Amino acid sequence: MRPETDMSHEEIKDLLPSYALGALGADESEILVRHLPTCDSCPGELAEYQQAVGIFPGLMPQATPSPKVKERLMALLSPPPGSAFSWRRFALAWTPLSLLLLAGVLAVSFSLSNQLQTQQEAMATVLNLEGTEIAPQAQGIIFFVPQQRMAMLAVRGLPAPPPGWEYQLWLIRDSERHSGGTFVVDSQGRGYLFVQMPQDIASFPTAGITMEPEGGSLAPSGDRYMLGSI
Amino acid sequence: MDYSQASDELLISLMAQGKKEAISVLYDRYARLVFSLALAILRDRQLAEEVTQDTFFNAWRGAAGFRAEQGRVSTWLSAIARHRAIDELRRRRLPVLNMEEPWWETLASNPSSASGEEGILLMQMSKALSDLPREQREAISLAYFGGLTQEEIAERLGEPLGTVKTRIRLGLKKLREAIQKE
Repeated sequence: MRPETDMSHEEIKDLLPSYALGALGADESEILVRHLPTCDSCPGELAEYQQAVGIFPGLMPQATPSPKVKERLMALLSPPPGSAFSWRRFALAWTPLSLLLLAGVLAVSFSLSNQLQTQQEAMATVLNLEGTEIAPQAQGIIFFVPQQRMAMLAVRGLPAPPPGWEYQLWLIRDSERHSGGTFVVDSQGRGYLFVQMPQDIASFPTAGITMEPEGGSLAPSGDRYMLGSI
Repeated sequence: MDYSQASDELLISLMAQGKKEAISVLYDRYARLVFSLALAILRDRQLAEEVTQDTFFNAWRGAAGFRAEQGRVSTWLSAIARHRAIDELRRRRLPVLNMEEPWWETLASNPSSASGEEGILLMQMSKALSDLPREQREAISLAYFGGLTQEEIAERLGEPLGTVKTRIRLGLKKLREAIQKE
């Protein structure tokens, strides 16, 4: 549900500092996010607050990470996005068949990686996502394996977000909303996302997708485009 | 091509083309900034290193979506790192930064570490934060380092929500004005 508001422009403008700090609650964030594209002055003012907040990290006592961090990072970067095979290209061309294949690959690889896991536990579980009333043509699917911390989301039929915005996946359990990450879509509305979680991803029975400012939000603040449950 | 001389924006563009040398240089430029921020939030070197690795990995994956007109690369990386660190803070239910520690004064005690235009901005911000009333600085710090909402800050401090909103609004307005004076 969209929060309704009779707030004046001045009142909405007063939300900008807290929004720049990420300190607004979900309802007020949504009011502001809805207001920004319609206002001539607030986006510029918000950028100035964000610039001020963006200086904070430079004030921290500077510390150096272990050289192993860079080693691990560089090892993760293969294959790069432009190489012959990329998950992005794979996902952009996804079909029900390729996703079934992916589910099989995930199940088998996870099974092999854990000798103690039973075959039943290793079976990939599927969560189907449907478009809400603002994106009725959107379809999506999440594959995840019980007891594991990885999953893959693939969607199609989502409208392209305006510049500065992207989609964000939310894993939902009771009143908790955990970000699964952000993603963009191509001109056909197709996108993908690999999800890594510090806990059993299958413990989240519901998932939703909202449109958020680029970089993502700490809590859902934009319109909900997709929703689904196991 | 000498990647070490490339601008941040060019490095991001090269990353989007899959050039690993580009992220290597970007990492060397900003790993300390990202790690220091994550460490300030999490107070745990191992977790902060994980956040640092994730931040640059996400930057690698998201390079094609970066738009220079919406902000600097360092701000973008810091935003990714902060989101990721606060996410970790919440999941692990770790304690929020002790607000008694004057994180904003580090630079003032070592001004030689700041130089050029960037250094001027940092010094202006450091002074502006020092000049803020303690209550305003505390509310801003809890929001930035703890990822707390206004409601959560009010609850933590035992203050009315309206008071916390006012402190954040007035405080951040002063900080914004401080870096616009020059």
